[in-house]
Amino acid sequence: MFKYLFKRDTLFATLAVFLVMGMFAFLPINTHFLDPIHLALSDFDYNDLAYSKMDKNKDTPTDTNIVIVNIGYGNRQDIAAMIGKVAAQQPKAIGVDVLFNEKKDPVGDSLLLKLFSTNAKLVTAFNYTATNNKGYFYTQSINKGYANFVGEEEGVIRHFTPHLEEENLSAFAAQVVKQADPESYQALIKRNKLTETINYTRKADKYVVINGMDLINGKADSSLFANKIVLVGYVASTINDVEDKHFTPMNEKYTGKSLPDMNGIFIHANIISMIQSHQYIHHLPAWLMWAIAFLLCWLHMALFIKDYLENHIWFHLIAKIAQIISAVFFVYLGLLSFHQFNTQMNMTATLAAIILAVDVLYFYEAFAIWLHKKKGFKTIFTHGKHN
Amino acid sequence: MGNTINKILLLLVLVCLSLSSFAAEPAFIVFYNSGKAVKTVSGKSIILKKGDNLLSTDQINIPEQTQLVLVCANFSVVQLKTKGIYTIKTLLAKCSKETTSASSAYFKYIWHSFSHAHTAPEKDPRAYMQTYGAASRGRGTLITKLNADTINYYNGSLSIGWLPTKAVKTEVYSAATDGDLLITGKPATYIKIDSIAAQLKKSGSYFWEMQGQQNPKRKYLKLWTKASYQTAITKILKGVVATSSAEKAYLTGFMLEERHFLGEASKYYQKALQLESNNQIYKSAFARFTP
Repeated sequence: MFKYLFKRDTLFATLAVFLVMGMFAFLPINTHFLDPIHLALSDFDYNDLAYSKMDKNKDTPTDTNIVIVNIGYGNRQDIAAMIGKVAAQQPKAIGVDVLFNEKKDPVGDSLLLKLFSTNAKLVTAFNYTATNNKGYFYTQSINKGYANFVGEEEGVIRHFTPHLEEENLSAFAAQVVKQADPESYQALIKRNKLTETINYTRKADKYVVINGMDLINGKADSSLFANKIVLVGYVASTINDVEDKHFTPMNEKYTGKSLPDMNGIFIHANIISMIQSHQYIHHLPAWLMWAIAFLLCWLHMALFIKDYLENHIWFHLIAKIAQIISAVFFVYLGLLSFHQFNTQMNMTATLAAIILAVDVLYFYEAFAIWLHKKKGFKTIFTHGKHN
Repeated sequence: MGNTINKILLLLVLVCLSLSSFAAEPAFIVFYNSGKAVKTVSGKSIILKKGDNLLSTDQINIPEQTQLVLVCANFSVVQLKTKGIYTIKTLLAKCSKETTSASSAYFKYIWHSFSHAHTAPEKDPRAYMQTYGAASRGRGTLITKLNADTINYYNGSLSIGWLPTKAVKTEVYSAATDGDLLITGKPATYIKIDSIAAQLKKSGSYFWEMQGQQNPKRKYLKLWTKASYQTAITKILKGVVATSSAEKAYLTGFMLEERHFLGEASKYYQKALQLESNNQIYKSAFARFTP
């Protein structure tokens, strides 16, 4: 294999693979719909396997910095009473992850309005995409953040946008951290990322949840809110209750039909945990992934040319086996990097190059022989020793 | 004398025709009117607006530089841009013609896929921010005892209560969002659909809500005409399997409730209970209709 590594044909054939990939990439049409696997797995990211099959973050301890108050089916007066109880204990910040789209009863509305317009520790949520009505208390709220995530509608939530510079708006979770932990917020902003991948570290059972009605009725100890980040929102009582529930990579069923697994409030909690602990998901730069792809494709090409010329009967079998082993191995490598180092490696270019290598090799051989006949191009494919 | 009789007969025919037009289902619903497209009713021109119903007997006039978009009963769309007078009857043919074949639908999909660039959430997040993680508490916590999102109604006693039992006002609107407020009920722990229907008088589509309900979407109330209501009920009753009298009555009630004919369902549940007064299932089924 190594004797072919530095042959001119190996290098040219490798370059041809990337030329073909470039041609595909620059086609001005969208051909994704022709790919049934892509369609079937359009909402699938192989990194999700790190959660569902490799138990990523399974042993993360409970985040005691965050306490969640479940509003249940409480009305506005109830929610105002819950916030009042929490605020009395001097928490670091209170995030109210509830949309109040219209006015309702005068008592509940005025209580909430007073809280939102006077308490600087309170952060309200709004829907960024609602063009006409961002909420009844939107204008008067001192602090507010959009509760929107980034992803396909009804799809898996993997990303969020921390800050929208043009509109000077921040995400709800980022805004809560801004009140509770300004240094961590500044670190987030300094990363200057349009989208951040959410590092899901905890499922719902890894956060302390207090029933809001118990809090009002004095059945819950409110002293635990002191110096904590408190999120007020809806927590589903049963697995089949899908109000404000979303698909996340932590879903045990990583593809196909399943129930959404996480309430919005816990997704915000995960984002807050990530910002506070500075445990962001890193992505290897694109140039490095392309360099790795080129290097690995070059090695594969040397192997394929060797078998093509010296062991032609077995060439196809060996090539297919090598492709399968490589695909499994590099996906594993990517998963391991994500699992252990919170670093996502985009191995798509590597896998595509290895898969295309065999077919491009055929084309390259024909082209090299043609060049040899016409222009005297020196190539190893003229020996005709397909053993 | 003969002349007078002729006039009376003509008047009767006209009255019958106008009544039947009231009862008829709309052929189109106006979706968009960019200018002053009008429909002519009894010689009067009425400017069409979004949500207006057009009957098969109507005629419309489209002036220059006006686009009118109509939605057919089969949900296909008819667009009119050319100046002229159109009868709805002739436009109806366009609805049936526009049904799509499997092949044309497939090639439309191919064309759409070819011609739309594939973007990624990471690169254009604003285009992928439709999902938000927050519960809505736009309203309150009232939940109706019956599944009353849709009610098909013609006559009979029908009251719908809610939990928790709390006296609130009910409001009836002409549209699912915004629309004219047609009726405001006095604070009560239930809504009397028969009383609402009596006030509304005309068959058609209405939307109602109680102040403080949990779901901010208004509930749909369809007031049927006698003839169409009876046809629909007869069709449902044909599917009922005959067993014992009480069982048959219960099954009928169940099937009617499934299809949102709640007033009619209530009658059959009551009948089942009368026939077997100790049956707990019949008791609880009928109890839900008691506000």
